[in-house]
Amino acid sequence: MRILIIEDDESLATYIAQGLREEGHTAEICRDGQEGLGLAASEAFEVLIVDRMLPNLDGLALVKALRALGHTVPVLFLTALGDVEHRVEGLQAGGDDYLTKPFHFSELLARLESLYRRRHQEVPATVLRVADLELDLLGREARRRGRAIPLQTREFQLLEFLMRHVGQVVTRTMLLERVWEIHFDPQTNVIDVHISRLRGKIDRDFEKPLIHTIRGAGYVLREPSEAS
Amino acid sequence: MGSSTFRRGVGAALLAWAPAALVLSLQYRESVRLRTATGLERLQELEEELLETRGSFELREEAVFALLGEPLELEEVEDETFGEFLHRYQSELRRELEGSLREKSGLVLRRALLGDVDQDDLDWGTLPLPELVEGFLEEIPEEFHDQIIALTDPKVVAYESALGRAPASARALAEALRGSELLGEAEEMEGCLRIVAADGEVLISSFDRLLERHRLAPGVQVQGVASEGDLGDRELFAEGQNCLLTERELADGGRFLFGIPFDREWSEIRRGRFWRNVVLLLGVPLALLIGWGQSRPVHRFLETLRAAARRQQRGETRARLELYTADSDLAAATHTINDTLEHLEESARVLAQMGDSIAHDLRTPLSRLQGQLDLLRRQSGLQGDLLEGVQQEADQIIETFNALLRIAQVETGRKKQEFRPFDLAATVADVAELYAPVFVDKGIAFHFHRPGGEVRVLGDRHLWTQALSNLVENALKYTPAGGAVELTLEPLSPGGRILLRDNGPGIPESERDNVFRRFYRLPDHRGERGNGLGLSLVQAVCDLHEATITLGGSQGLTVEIRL
Repeated sequence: MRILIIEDDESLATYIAQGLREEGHTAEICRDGQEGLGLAASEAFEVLIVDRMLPNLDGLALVKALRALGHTVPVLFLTALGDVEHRVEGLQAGGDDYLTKPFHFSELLARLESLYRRRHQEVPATVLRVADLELDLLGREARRRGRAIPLQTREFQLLEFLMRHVGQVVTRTMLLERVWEIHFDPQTNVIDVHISRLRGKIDRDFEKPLIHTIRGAGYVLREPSEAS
Repeated sequence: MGSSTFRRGVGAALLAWAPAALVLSLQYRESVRLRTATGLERLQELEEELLETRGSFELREEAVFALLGEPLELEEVEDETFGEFLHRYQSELRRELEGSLREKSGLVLRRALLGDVDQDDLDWGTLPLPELVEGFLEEIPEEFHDQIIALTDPKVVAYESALGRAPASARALAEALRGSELLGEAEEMEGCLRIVAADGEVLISSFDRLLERHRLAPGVQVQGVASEGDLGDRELFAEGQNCLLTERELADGGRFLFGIPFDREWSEIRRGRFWRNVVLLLGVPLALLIGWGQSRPVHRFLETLRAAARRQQRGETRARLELYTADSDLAAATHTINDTLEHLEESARVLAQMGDSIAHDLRTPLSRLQGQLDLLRRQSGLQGDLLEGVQQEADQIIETFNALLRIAQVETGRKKQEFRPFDLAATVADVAELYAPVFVDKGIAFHFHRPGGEVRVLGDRHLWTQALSNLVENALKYTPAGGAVELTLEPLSPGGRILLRDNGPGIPESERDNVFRRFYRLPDHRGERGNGLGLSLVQAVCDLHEATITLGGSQGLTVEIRL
């Protein structure tokens, strides 16, 4: 991915860029809102990381302007303003995701991948398929190897989310936000418990597990053929 | 209580407020200037004056306001770093001042209700202002000295003297004030200013108009006000003509007396600041004065007052006195006290906002810390215990910090603007659904009882989700395997009642108030994971929604929330 980081905190921007480069991405840094807008509008980046508070032009205005110019590049807001209403503001301005400082790098990475792939993969579908697992979105039914698997509403949503992000690491925070609409970190391992129940239903009786734990990051649902 | 002691006490309360009177006069002067700024001519004059004095007078005035805890207009301070410094200092000062005012007024109110007020209680002059002022001057970095004020500026010295910071001399004060505009403007606003040296020589006197208006004979009555503490509410508050007289003894035995009328042009005076000071100055003594003179309605009034004080002590900052209309004096006192309470609540809000901005400033260094840790973990390729330990500590700090920030945000009350009607039943059910499998894993029986229909309430759905999660997580943490937890929602009209019952160890009755305090952990649980903020947030969310939370239960813990 070619990523532009518009963030005025020099050391933070450097850590992010360094981390992204280590993951094989190309990262550029810009510390000024106006310059950032110019860069983003004139060069082909695949994802933007935009801080909310920037010199000369704040992140919100930057993204609004970019969208007004017709650019659809996915934007992840990075911010010290972590409240739900700030989040809504960010998304309304044309941001695609919102991450509150401080964050783990793995969290940032997972979200960037998700933004990038969403843009390249998302096709309307009524049935999601991964290997021999099928999720019928209209009939609200899950089947593996043709056998129906009864799922509760939330389990269904959880599985749908994992399947829509097949092959991508999804973090616990992403699951909390997108599946449960929860914007804080619970002190207990609720997500792990829910994942383990889901595994019990879709993986336990089958030879090849589809849901995998990625240590220090989250979970991934992937085709058995994909090497780990 | 003896009437003379009482009166002396009230008198002393007023006398100690000379510095406030100075602030009032400055504020008043400013409003006078603004009011008379009619026409282009005056505007141009003002502009010129501003240009000329910018960097000297303005800054000096700012500094004085800063000393006295008034807001700084930071646009006037050209140097950014210095502006920042002033701003921070001022925040600190305000916090201290408001904190001690709050404490003090609580004390006076409490003791007044017990009929046990003595002069010391009412001596508002013991506020730690002088110390702060001293701190302020010392803390100004040296390179800014020429930017702000020569530290020997007579005007500032005079103010400081009046504040009791330096050994004040009546002559020095008179000298300083004689050259200033203050004198003329005190006249202009029909106020009075009087400085008498220790030997009795009148150094400055501009009393006449005020005294005439109040039909006070010069000298005698003033002397009465000053030394006997005899306010005589009839003189002071006759015919809607209110004035405020304060006197302060200077260090050299001289006296400084200041008075202003405030019966006119109320609405034109910038209300908040002026009224706030006046309320603090007169609120409690006024109520007590009026109360003392009458008896039966007063008894009821005092009952209300006592109840209100109790509610305030419980932290119900929104509690106000009910309006008692049969007696206009009592109604006025009620208003006054309610305004005081309003101000106190506002102060608390200011504090909360400050916490908010501090927390906000911490996000950047915390982000860097996290960034460095991530980098270290990747570069060293170590998954060692040490590094993991550091990461866990960092996570814990960040978690605590996020929790604090969230509480601060809730406490500002800003979220009230986001209130929407929502179905509480669905929210509680979501939380129950989220945690149900965790209970199963821990071997705890969990039951959720929900009503058939919706329970519509007005509020912030996300906050309730978090508050309920905190409560459920507590139940999870403290209920042993084999135990049972029950979550119930009942509709009320209007609102609802949430009941969470566990059969864990419970909370001893003596600790039930403590557990809502920030960072408080029950003695038996101090070693466990957690930040001691969970219930503080629950409390803040309840307060925001004007809901009540009660802890009970003899076997295990029962938490009841009514909203």
